Amino acid sequence: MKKYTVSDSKLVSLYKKGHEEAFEQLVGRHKNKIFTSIYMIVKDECIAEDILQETFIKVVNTIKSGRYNEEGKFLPWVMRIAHNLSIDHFRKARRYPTIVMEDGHNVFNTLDFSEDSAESIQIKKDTHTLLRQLIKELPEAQRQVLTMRHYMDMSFKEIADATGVSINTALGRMRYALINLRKKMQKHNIAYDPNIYPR
Amino acid sequence: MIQTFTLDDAVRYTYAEMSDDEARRFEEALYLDSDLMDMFQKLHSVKGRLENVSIEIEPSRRTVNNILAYSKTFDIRVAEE
Repeated sequence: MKKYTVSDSKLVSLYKKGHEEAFEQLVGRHKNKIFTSIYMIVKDECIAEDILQETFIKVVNTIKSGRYNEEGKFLPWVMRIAHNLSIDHFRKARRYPTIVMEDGHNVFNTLDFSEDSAESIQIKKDTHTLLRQLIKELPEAQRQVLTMRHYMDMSFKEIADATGVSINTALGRMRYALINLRKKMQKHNIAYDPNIYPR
Repeated sequence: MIQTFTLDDAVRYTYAEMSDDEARRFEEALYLDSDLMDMFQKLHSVKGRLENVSIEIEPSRRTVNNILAYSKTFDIRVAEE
């Protein structure tokens, strides 16, 4: 997870005292993660934008009216609001929420993949493209937990809470996701780091 | 006595979701349980590959501006209605 000089908790305190720039920082820090989470459920950018706004309206209302629970962590709290609003969207539409990413309209086709390492262009072109495809091929529940943990920095406890399963179920899904992905990688001859040591 | 760990515990260890003490005990168990070691190595290798690929989508600037504007013009009386 990213480490910031000023904690979320401190920014919330400043925001409660009227410092709007603190709120701007909180939004800037977390908007992508929250937006990605919503988009993965609703699969529609316009709807996801609306739900993101609704989410932050609830955040503003709760904090500014003094109802924010100081004991909770800011991001998991906002993620829960976003998740609930996303699920509500499907309830209203009488549809069952699924994080299906069909061909031609799937999150991994539209998301921007970026590298933060100095890996070669060749790996970026070949391996990363193939990895995206392999992740897409995972069963839905496994793909969901893998994405939430790996790319949204959610803990397994947070994933369990957000998806309404036990932490053991979330862990089990993650294990199967990684093992299945590894098998697929081997099948496609994607190299992986053979230097494995406990931390 | 060596604590028994499950294969799912290997997931928690791989993603650093154990306390230092639990992680130390897990490492002890790792060298005595070949299945656990095998699972850890598999999980760790895939995690390493995935770490080089990140995904991110951004909401529009308009949406972010709407959110910030709402906060600036927030009126508690209206919000409570």
